Amino acid sequence: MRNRLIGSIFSLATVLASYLVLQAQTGRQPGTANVQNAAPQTDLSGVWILHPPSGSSAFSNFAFNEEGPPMTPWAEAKYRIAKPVFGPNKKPVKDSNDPVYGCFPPGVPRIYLHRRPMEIIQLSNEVIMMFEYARLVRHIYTDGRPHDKFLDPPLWMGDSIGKWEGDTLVVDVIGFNDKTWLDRIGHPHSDALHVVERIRRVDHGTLEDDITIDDPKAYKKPWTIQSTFELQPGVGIDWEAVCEDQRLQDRQ
Amino acid sequence: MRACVITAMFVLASAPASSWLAFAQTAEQSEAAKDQKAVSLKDLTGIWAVRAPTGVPWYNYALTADEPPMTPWAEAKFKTNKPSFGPNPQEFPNDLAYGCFPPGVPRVYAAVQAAMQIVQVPGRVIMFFGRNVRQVYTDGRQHPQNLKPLWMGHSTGKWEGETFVIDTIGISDRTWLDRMGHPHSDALHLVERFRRDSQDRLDLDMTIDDPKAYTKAWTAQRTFRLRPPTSELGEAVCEDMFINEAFGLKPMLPSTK
Repeated sequence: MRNRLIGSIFSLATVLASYLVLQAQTGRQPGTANVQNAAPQTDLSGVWILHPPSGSSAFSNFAFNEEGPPMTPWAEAKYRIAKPVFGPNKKPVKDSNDPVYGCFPPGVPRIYLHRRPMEIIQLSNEVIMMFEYARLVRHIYTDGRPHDKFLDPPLWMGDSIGKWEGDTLVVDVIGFNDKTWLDRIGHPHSDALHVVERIRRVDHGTLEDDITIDDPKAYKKPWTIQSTFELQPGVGIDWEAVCEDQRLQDRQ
Repeated sequence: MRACVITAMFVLASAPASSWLAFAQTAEQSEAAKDQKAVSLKDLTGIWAVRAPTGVPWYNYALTADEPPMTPWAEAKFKTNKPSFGPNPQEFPNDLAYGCFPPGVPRVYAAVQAAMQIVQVPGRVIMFFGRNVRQVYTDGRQHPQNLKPLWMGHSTGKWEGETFVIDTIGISDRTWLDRMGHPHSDALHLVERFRRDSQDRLDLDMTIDDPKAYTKAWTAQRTFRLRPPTSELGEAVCEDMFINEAFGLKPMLPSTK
């Protein structure tokens, strides 16, 4: 009797294990709904705006930290030819080669340095970030899908997937092109850039994003930064702030 | 491979592209249907792609097969518009889409690749056409007085039974109604009626009322097919593809020299 019971538990376990393997395999196939992540415990929804940390006013609107990241010679060479409008090597806008003045998306994490409203909408299979700056929409898929293996061409804002670890949304971003800067003073990155964000609503009105930047071609070691955002009740995104309109006005 | 839907008003679609698309849509149709549990017909959430019949070229540049009834005012504007699509494509178009300006509504529907993601949140239905976003207010508010012209207009929405009705005014007259250059005035009033007829099919019936530009109100229709839940809208950065110096906008790619 006891042996039979153990036997049935064993066969049940075998069946269950093969079922799970099968589920995992089919989950990799395209077109299949794939829910692997635990349900989020936090709602990140709301309109947020960057809140620079105290004592950072000297650099907070153009860089993430004061000392700068540990560049490789490859990155230093690129940094030297950058013509930013902020920082120690600043130039007038007309002489700048900052891609945002060509109305190109600023990339991640640089988008956070532009202090304009960001709205987060949380759906069952994705978290959508909407940025008034450059009218950008970022889709962070949380349904367990892998990174797109066919990222050709690479993306301005990267390919973002996310998963919930308790109350933290962990976002993994790869697939960047190498045309954007990491900040507004021209720190470069390569197409090997790997960004990991850990986004947490620390209290009702505050969002924290711990960002790890790993790019072995450009930086000697991964570096981490933190951005903090404040909730902006009653604020909406202005979708009519069109970069090209601004450029036309600047010319007239 | 993930199904990446390029929304763009910008991609130069050809007949082979449209037949490929129709094939891809048919192949995905069963997948999408299979993946979806029964949902309310009042849930419009998802990525929807225009179902463009093959062998109907005007789907890629016009809203209707018939010429809309233009007033003399509109005829004059139509003559000065230089489209790159339609029966008379121009070598040097003055289509603002090539300056990467928002296409406006209803032009977003006049392309075989037209696709949109719809999200419903309390008080709003948000429609994503790549980087061009429409917020349709469903909280009962009215259109504001003295609207300044908006690229995508000001939209309010309400449910009439199982039909979602969007009312839009304030659309900038810099935009064209379609990709062949039919103009509109600042008096344009657009009403869109969306109806989810089945799990994976969404029908749109729109009424274009602009007494300054058209002698009577006219209607156009589109049908959309639900994309599988794993599909994505894609990045679609217009500036990557078209920078038209005719608009005074020069490419400003990062210099490597």
